[in-house]
Amino acid sequence: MTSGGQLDEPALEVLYVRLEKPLYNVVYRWVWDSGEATDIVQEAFVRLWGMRGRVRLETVDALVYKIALNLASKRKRAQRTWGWIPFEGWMGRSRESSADDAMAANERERAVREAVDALPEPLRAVVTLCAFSEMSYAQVAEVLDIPAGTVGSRRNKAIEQLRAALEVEQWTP
Amino acid sequence: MDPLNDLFAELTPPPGGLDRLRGRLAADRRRRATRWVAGGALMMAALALLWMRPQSAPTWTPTADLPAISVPISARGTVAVHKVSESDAVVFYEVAGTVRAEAPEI
Repeated sequence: MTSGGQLDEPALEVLYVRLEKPLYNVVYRWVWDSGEATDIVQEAFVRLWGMRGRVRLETVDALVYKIALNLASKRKRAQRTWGWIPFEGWMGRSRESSADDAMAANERERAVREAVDALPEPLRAVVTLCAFSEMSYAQVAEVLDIPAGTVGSRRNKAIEQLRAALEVEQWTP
Repeated sequence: MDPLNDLFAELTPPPGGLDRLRGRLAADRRRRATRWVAGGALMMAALALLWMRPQSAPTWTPTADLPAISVPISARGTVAVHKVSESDAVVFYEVAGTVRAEAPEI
């Protein structure tokens, strides 16, 4: 992964190829905008490159997620401040068989987004990392600076809240 | 099955991300190189200024009992030279210094 014990450019590229998709998916569930999510992923790697001299290779994955989550959280707060929340349909979704299916899918996306947005930040961080990062609870705990046991409890709590919100949503005309 | 997988579809990031990252890192390298060059140029300029700095001479204000003659020596200023009276006819001293602007022209 490295030459001479440091994160070099080829190693950074390998890391980018491996983590781009999961990071993008995590960050997208914070900002709900493809362009913003792409920017944040890029910025996270540029910042990682800037601190390459201090990077511990065994925890580099957690560090990238930590940087990206911090950036996403800041961007989210900025969106709230300026009252700007973009809406996009599923990125990469296969074509729906009909206009009705597409509409239903968009409705579903909107409902999921509202439910995820309603989660407190600590729960949202756990649920998005658990869903996409392929990290263990211990690694997620390292990203968030919390005990590993707390990851499980927050994840369960988040799922409960999401289920409750989405069940209510289904009955909302 | 993980309930989160039901909830979230996996999205594919827009293509070309790695190329954009390479571009940003290259731009970062250029910025650093420019900074080094600019820093080096500044340091050279500072050293040159230090080297060209006029040597300071002791300042001396002529007084009535110690009259002096003004000797313009360069565009940098004026140096006054004063012969100090001495009882020994063989030995004599001269005091030289920069004349202050407010000092009367002699």
